[in-house]
Amino acid sequence: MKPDTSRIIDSIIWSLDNYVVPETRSPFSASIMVTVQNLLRHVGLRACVEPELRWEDNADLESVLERVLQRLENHPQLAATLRGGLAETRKAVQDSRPDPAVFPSIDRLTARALALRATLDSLLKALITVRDSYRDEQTYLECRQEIRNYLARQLVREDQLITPAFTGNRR
Amino acid sequence: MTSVAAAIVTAKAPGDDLDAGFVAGWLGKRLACDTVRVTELVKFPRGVSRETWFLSCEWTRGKYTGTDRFILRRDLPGGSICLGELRAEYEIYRRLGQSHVPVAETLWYEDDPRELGDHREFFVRRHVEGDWNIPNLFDPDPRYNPLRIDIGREHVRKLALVHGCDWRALRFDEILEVPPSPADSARCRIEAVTREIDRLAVEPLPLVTEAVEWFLAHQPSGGERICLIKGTNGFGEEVFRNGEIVALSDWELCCLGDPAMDFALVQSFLDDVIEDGKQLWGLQPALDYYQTLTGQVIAPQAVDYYRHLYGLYRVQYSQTAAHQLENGDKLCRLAWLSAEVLQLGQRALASAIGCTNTEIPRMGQR
Repeated sequence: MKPDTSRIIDSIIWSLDNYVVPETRSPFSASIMVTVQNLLRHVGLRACVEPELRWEDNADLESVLERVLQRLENHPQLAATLRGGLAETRKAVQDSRPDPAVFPSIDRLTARALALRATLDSLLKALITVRDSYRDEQTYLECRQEIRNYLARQLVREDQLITPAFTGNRR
Repeated sequence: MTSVAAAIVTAKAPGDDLDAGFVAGWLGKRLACDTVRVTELVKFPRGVSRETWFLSCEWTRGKYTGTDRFILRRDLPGGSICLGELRAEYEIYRRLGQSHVPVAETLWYEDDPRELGDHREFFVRRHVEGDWNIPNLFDPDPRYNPLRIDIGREHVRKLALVHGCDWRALRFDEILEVPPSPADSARCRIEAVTREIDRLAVEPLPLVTEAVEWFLAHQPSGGERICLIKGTNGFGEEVFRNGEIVALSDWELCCLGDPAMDFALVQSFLDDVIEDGKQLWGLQPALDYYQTLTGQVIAPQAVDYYRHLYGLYRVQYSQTAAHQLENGDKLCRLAWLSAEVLQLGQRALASAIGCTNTEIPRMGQR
């Protein structure tokens, strides 16, 4: 479908810039227009890039959770300490899996992202509670590092929706 | 009988903006005047955490006439973005008015529903003549280096004044959390901010969970004593006249704690000034100068710690903004806070725990 979302948003920003901003007299309104233009670029990126990013991030996080679970379950002491937490994590990961017959809309992808992140957050909190007992254990350290590596990748992905959009003054 | 009039005012925005008629009527009662004419009522464009309005008026009382200029502060329709309440901000100004710290005089706090009508509560302080802007400060020409150094030193002198306040005598312990010891300063801040993020429960943030563990494990010593801390400070926050700070403004992050925190939150006044390879100004020269004024040694590592910790504050602003949008507020500033400011905050947290090696966002005008 032409024009695509990016071109439509570009045309809105250009028109605001050329026809509305010069007519804006109040300093507060002018400042709001600056914020609006930044947000329009952000919305444009979300429309075009966000579904794929969410899909990729969900797959990444699911596999991270699987690997961490595997490591923990293979460590009898840790598995025993975290038993309830591990079972809950595994169930949450399974429950979040989408029905392949249903179209993965952005709302569904976002709902899954929130569910998986909540699961990761709970698991992380459980790991932190046993830190003092296991801080020198290789398995424990690997799990924590695996999670940190994922968090770094997540940040890089999210940045694709932010850095190109928010430029110049914000307000 | 008080009569009111209004001029030079911006159009009333739908729903929530102040109007000159209301302000003139309210001021007429407070100033006990026969007539009040509002000649200026302008919302400060850059404010994010709260609204700031500049208002000027002409008044008559019997045979006397006069003019006055005030600043009005109130929350956004959905509340403030910051942790402290509006009333606490007013109380901070009021208490500082009894100290040597230069602040605007606070006059009135209005929360009486009969006076407010359908307006939100607010407080009013006297306008201080001066300017937050400093011409040529950012001009890279080396001939402005002395200006940058003078401004920086003046700012450090005023921070020393704030940190030297007898906060117990000024009864700050009645309105701010007192850390049990200097070593608990960072922990108190971490707990206050994370408590608010948890209360809002906007979205799961495992990076926050990870970073909070790191911050708690790496707390700085907290200095020799608990000090009054200004919070965000530096360029854009203070009022200058003839090179001197005549009013320290923006106290919404004010707390009791470690003076290193204030050095972490300085905007632009600690930027490096280097000539012929020699550092004339910057963080370390500022800390050295501070030591000559106060005798207190602040480690640059502690400042760096609080620079990273400010990421947690940014996350809190973003979550509060997102919460307000979820509750039906519409101001687009909130959407910006929930999107970009969350990312900036998380970047600082990731840097703290060693997830990324990118530079942490600078303090300042975002």
